[in-house]
Amino acid sequence: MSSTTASPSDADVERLRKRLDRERLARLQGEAIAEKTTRELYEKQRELQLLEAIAAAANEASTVEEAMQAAVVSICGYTGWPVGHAYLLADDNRRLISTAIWHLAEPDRFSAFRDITEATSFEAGVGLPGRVLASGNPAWIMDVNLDDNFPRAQQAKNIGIKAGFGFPVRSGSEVMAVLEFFATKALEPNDQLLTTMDSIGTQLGRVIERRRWEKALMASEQQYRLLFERNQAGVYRTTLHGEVLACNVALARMLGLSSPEEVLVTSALQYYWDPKERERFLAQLQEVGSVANFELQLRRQDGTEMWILENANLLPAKNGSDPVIEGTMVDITERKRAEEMARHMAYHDYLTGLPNRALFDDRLSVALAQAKRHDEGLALMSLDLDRFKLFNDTLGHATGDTIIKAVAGRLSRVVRGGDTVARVGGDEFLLLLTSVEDGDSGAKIAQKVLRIFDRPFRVEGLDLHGTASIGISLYPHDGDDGEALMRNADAAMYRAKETGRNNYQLYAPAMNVRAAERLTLENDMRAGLKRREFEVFYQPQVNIETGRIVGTEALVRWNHPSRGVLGPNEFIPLAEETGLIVHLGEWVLRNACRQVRGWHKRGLPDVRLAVNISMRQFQRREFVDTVRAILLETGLEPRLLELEITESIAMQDEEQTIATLRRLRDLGVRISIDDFGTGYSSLKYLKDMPIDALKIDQSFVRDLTTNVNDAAIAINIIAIAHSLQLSVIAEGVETGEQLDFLKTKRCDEFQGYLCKKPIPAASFVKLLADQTMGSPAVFRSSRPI
Amino acid sequence: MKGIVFNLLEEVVTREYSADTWDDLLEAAGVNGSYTSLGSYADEDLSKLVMAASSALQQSPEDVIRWFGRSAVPLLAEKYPAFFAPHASARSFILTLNEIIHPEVRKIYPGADVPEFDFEVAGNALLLGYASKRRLCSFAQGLIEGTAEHYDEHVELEHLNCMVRGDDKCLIRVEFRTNGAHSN
Repeated sequence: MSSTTASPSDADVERLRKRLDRERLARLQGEAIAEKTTRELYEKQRELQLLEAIAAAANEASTVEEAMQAAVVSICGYTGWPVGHAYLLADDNRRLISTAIWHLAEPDRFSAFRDITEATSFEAGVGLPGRVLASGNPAWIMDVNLDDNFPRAQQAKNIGIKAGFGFPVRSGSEVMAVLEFFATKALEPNDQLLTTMDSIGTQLGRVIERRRWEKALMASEQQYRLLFERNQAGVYRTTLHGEVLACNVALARMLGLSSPEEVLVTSALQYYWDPKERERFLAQLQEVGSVANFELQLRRQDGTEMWILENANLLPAKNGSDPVIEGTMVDITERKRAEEMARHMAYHDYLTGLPNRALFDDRLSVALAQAKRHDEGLALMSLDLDRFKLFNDTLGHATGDTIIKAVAGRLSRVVRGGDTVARVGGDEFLLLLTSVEDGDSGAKIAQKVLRIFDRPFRVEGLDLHGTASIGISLYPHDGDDGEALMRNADAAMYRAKETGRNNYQLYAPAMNVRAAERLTLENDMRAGLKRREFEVFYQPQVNIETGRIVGTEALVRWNHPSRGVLGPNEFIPLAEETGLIVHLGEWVLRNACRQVRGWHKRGLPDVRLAVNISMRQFQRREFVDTVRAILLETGLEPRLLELEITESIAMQDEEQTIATLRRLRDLGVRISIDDFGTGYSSLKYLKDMPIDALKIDQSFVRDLTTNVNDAAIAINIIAIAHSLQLSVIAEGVETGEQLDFLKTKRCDEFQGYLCKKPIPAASFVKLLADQTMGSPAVFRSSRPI
Repeated sequence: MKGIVFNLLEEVVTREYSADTWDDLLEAAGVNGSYTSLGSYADEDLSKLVMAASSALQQSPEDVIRWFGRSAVPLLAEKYPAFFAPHASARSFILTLNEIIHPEVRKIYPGADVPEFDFEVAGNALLLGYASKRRLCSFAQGLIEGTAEHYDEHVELEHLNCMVRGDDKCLIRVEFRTNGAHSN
């Protein structure tokens, strides 16, 4: 170390000079470093501003092109280069297509370059953009005039373009676009710049990627929106409070509105038919999060009702938003209607729409339970149309159906609101009447019901009259269960039929016995026909003038094995109702013809045979053939057979009746009208119908001598018959006075107890034989023999 | 090598010896000697200076570097007290090297090639891993020892593996003792 002397040595000076040099050098170094750092900082800031500007433009741009245009302008501004352009990758992924994205500092100067660029296709590897596409990396050309892979060299040269660089817009390794820039002087490659450009390329790549993704999202959204908007099912979103957030057209239409907008201003709650259903729906949604196949009745905007099938999910509250119900609904009104129809048909009569037996049974058991609980009475009525089978058979089923419908309508109107009218058979109805305490009130209602038959039923221009028979049973008086009440009402109804129809009967315990008897009788009758228990009796018909027997009426008797001999009144009505009359009637006709023919063969005088024909027989298509067959079979001369039909037969289907009668007349058979005067006694049919005789009903004959009216009727019948060239026979003549009266009025024949009651064949043969043997006429004087 | 290291060395030499000694050292090493803290200089300059000191002091280059490191700590503590203040022990300070100290160094001296240490706690001791092409593990040792002194601690280091001895990587076992404990 040096000594501390006053004047420094040369060595010290040298040392200090060196030290000073070092310090100065260090200062210069430091300043250079500071300047460099400051410059770098400035460059860095510009670069950052560029990147920020491009990022901002990219975010604001609505299209990829806009974003790239902004990038081109920014980069030209940043670099000071006068030409910038962008290419997009062609759909074939192998070429670049020039776009309208340009920046030209001097458009006029560079337009030729722009035109050649736009006219050139850049395959991978070709030219500056092709090189970028091929490598996927930025590329720099110091001077395009010296480059042997620059197709636009001529145009570039003409306008002074020299340096150029390009960089890819990339997503991952995929090049989607290329940007290129040109300067008018030759420049060394700037790696720093290319690095920056590369990151801009990546940034723009993200923009393209995002646009693509947005496009895909929009397409997907569009798809779902169409699925939503065009769905045939109604689709909706609502809040729990029923505010409609969204819905589609189908839903609007279902509700009777024309657009979803109209639905949005309404509340879902207003469409519920029953507000309790909404509660049920919400409870299930909140409990399990969804509702499946929920059937619900809604009220459309116009107030009409509809049924829907609903499926819904509850989207729970999220990020402070309220929970939302999302669901679909399908209109199942038609299906419900069909189901309702099926259900209705299962419980209703197809013809009248009235409840059927099944529904009636239901209502009865409900009504019974209620009556028991409240200690009230009720009435059951069994109503049966009288002779409806005949109606049906003669006028056709269509007419029968029309009458049934009319009866159903009248019955429904005559009962009170809570009462039930059911159709339980062809012509059988049941009425359930609540709060009927005794027989009197039941009877009053029955009278009311019978009055609905006062007016005729008008069918195809005809006024048809019908009647009904009603049986009534009362709860609790006549039974405390449905079955007993039903059985007893039926029994009472049969009793009403037996007592002449067109009336009502309250049930009495004896009726069941009668009903049972009826059934037995029917069975016995079938058996009796097989066992030949029936027998034809004959009642003489006498010529009033000569007193001789000129004919006989065949009348059936039943030798019942346990009940003895039964007259026609005891079984013919039942035979008519059940249809047995056809069989029985034919049996009588055949046997009577055979017997009478037998008498003729034995030489007995020819007597006319009169046989009653029931309506059922007469209406049968094959009736005339049957008569012809029997005549042939037995050999009886047709002129000796007289068929007696009633007025009521004649009244039905006049044309058909006349046709049948003509055919019978053609056979040679006589026709007479039985019980004349008791029915309509229309003069018109007397004129038009081919008949031979009238029979004055015994009800007129009985009081002939004591009742002026009856006498007048009898006189008139005789007068009319004679004026129409018909013969007249009086029935039920019992006294000489009656006979004398008839004789003075020129009645042709008579039959009755005055002469003989119906007698067995053997007795009649004897009577005939006696008359032939020359004995006096059976009846000549006014005294009974 | 960052200029700050040369500035530190200059300051240590000037403080421990004199400004003239620094001049002599520069002369002996044959280096230019104008260093600014922001600049970067050849690593070679440091080796030359170390070799010159080594021959002048008759000490191994490692010992010279170790001395430099230990002597630099008080200067650093004066210059950057905020890094030392939060810690109560050398161990705590050293463990923040990677996370706090070196990142701060990089902020001030862009491009500073600071080494990465990896630490492993082994009981009371730390296992310190060091790898650098400069192979300045002795400098690290000196800095650690200086730090221990700053916190009034005693530290013992053992080079389990050493790049200077030809290993791929240095592994230094560092054991701290408070001076109180050591005196017992």
